[in-house]
Amino acid sequence: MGKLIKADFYKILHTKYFYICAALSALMAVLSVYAYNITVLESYGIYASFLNLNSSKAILEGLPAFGTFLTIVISLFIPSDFSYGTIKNTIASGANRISIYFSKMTVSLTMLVIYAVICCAASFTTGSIIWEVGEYTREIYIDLLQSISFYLFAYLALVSFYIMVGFLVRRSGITIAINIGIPLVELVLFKFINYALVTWLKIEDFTFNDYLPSTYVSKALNFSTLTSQEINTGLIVCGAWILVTTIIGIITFKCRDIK
Amino acid sequence: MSENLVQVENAIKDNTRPLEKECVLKVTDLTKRYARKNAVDNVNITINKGDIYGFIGKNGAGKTTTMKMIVGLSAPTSGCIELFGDTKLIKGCKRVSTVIENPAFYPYMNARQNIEVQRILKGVEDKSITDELLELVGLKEAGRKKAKNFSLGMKQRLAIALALVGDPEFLILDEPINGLDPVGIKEIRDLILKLNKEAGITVFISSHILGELNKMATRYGVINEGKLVAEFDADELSKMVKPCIKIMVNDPEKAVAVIKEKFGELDIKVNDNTVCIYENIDNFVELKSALVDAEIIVSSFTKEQEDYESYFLALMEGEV
Repeated sequence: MGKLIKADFYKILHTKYFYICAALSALMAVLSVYAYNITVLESYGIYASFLNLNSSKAILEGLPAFGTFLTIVISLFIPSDFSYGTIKNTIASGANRISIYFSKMTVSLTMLVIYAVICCAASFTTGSIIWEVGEYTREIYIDLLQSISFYLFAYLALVSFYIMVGFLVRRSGITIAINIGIPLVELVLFKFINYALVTWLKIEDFTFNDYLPSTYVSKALNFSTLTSQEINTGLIVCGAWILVTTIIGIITFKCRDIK
Repeated sequence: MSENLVQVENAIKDNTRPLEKECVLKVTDLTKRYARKNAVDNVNITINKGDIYGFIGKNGAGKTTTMKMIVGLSAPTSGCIELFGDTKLIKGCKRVSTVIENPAFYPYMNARQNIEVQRILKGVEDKSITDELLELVGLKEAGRKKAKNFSLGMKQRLAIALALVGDPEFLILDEPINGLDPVGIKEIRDLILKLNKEAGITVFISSHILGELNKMATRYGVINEGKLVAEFDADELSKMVKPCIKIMVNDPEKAVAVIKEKFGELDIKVNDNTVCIYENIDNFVELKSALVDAEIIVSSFTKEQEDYESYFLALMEGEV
């Protein structure tokens, strides 16, 4: 599998979209911090620096900036071997399909980390310039580390879903449309499902959102306010999403012919 | 030499066949069923080491589906595939390379980068093979040109270069000369022959350009509507494709009578003023003098081989 991972890294690092999306993510991270600064100014009528804001707050503000761009990169990268027909070269040279799937997962996970680091670096720099670097105590370090780790784990569940869609659809355009469109549909569709479960099936105290990784992606940025039950539920839900989407992706990839 | 003699002697004693070529591919009762139709229907193919196996069939006959099943891109409905004597395709595929359907490469990379991907994928440590392969397929001058800007011939050559990474022993090429101009066809043909003769690579090549296949193949399989309708080697083909003696005369009916009287019952056809004899007649002088003696005016006398294409077409139509 090492050879597959190495080859996949070679491929992604030779694409233009990887660098364009990374640059746009950094830009969005910078703009997110500026946007927060403007919001504070408009809402409270005071400059953010008066609220003791510093670079650690900026990191959490800029971190989610990569979302859409990472979705695009993964949606272009995963089905690319199918659309170019190069998956035939890989399989015909004796590569195991499960290894091919895990290789793509490894590269996608690495891209998630790279994009997160880029956004953190960009927002840290911006926060340091417009506010201040601020004091980094042990508590702040731990809080940052926990927030970012929980955020990345929850996001990995989304990435795992994007990969599964890429392997199922095998067309870049449709994969992008589905992966970007899902959060939009999610708002309407899941509200309806939730309503149906509570009203018609009389399942009380049920919130469908609690079972979606996107919920925990949002919650992760306020990690310090989460209860241990919420954290545990988040870890289980996201872990289950990673497991289920990976199994579905692998089974369908193994069973379907390559056209 | 002495070893061979010993092998022969042992073989006679053991009643075995030691000098039989190594079997590279053995396909037994291979079937692929889509919905209600068998795309490949109980196909049996054997390809030995050193063969150039020409796989002939019309579009949709089942050539590509068969090849896809051999390299694990498509799962057979039933049947057995053995690569190098092993039914585990993943193991056998490590010694195989393919170009199936369109040439597959990364269009945003140049030829060198494409070969690099394949080199990494196959775990080949020696980086110099990239230059060697570019040289071999004549793409050394392509430089930084992106593969998406290549001509069709260059794309085909790049696909073959990719297939050659890792020194494969068995090359599966699906219609590699499709869409090429005559110069491109010759280049690919020469390359395949070179790989077979110099590197000893066994080749399984499909095409519907029949005239081209008979310039390189040593064995043939003809597939029609998913069924393998014939399998033969090059020698058998040359025997099956009958020679034709064409004689243009002023009185074809009289000429036929004279020929039959002199040489007995022969396969003769008359077309306008041309008498075609589909048999081997070695003594042309005797034939000519018999016609002249019968006062028949002979305006032309030629010996031709039946067109291979016509023969293959007849085979595919089930007329042979």
